[in-house]
Amino acid sequence: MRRPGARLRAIASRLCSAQTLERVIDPLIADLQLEHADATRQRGAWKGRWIRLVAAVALFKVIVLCGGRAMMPLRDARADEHRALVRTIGFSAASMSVLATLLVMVVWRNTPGGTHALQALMVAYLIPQALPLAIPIGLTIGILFGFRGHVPSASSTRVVLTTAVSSSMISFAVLVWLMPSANQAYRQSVAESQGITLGHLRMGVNEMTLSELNNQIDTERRNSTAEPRFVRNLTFSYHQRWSLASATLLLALFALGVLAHRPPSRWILGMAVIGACSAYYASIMLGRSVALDGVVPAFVGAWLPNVVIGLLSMKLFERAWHHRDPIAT
Amino acid sequence: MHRSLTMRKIERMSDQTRLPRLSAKESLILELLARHAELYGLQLVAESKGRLKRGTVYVTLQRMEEKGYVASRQEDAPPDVGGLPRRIYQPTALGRRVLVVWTKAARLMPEFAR
Repeated sequence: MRRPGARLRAIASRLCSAQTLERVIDPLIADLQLEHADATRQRGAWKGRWIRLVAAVALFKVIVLCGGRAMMPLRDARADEHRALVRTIGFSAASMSVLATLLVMVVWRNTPGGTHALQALMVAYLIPQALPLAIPIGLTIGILFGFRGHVPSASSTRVVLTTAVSSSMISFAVLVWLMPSANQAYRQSVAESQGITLGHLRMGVNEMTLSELNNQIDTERRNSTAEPRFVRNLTFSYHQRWSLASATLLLALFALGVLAHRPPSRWILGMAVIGACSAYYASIMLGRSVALDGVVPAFVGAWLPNVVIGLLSMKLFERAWHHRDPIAT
Repeated sequence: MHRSLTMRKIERMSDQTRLPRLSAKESLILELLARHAELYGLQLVAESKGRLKRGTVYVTLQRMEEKGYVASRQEDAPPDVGGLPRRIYQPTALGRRVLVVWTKAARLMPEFAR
């Protein structure tokens, strides 16, 4: 027959730290066992059962109290979490702005001159094509540096993931509707700046909306003389719009996976950012290359970067899970 | 030499930015332990005549041990009963001093000690 309190101790050992077990739970149970033995000997089994019930209630109170004491630093940490979220938003916005500016400048540098008004208009048209890369990478940087080596709480993680999902949806809207029109308008402006008057420029792959791409793919597939590489390019672009839109969420998960390991220094955080961005960009290039060469199907090449980041994130979470601390007060 | 020892004492005193405080339960526990020298947790509950609760006394004792007001040691489990070894508590010198100071403060300024 089990000693009184053995089952209670087994439950408490899953919920409390070793110190709490030694200093609080064990003395309570040791006293219970002696009291139970005395009560059963002198007053009978029912008194012994009553002692057990009272001790169970006392143990429950202790576990709640110890959990409450553990929550007290967490209450102060809520202010820290709030500051971390504000920092995340700040770093994300700053990173997105810097990245978008850089990506716009890369294209605008090669833009032929024109009037100042036309130049300003061309810069505005280039912003949407920069956003699908600036948003996911900017948010990743924001999360890593905003939390700075702290493991985000469950509520902060929910806020981060909600932000990532919202950013993915914004990215999708940009890729599907805004970017094609802006690209087309940019091409028209460049032609205008060169004094070239055209009725309507034929749309390239980056100027088509998703439905236009889909229709073009169907048309080319039915066309027996269509160039295979062109068809692969169209298919790749179609799937890349979807994969770029979902990249924000995957990179956010990657950032959370890095934070789960409590990186000790900003250098390691910086290396994680550079590593993630380099891996993602290299995967895009590699995916495009192998897809256009017909080595892999076009949709595989388009989704390759997301698969790479997704696998990295899973590995990080798996390692963090294995090294996690037991529940402690 | 005398001057430098004094200066060192003053420097050490200035490091103590907070005076020790006692909650009502902590002062009651220290009073009981000072009266009886050493007691088990359950004996403290019994001696307090209901003012200490079975569940919370051990948490308070752990907190007081962390502050250095009480010390504890484990006894071997009783041979006829077996089970876990019991823990017995006694006040430390710091605990006794804090109790004396706090009791005097409570008598002089009851609103401060509440």
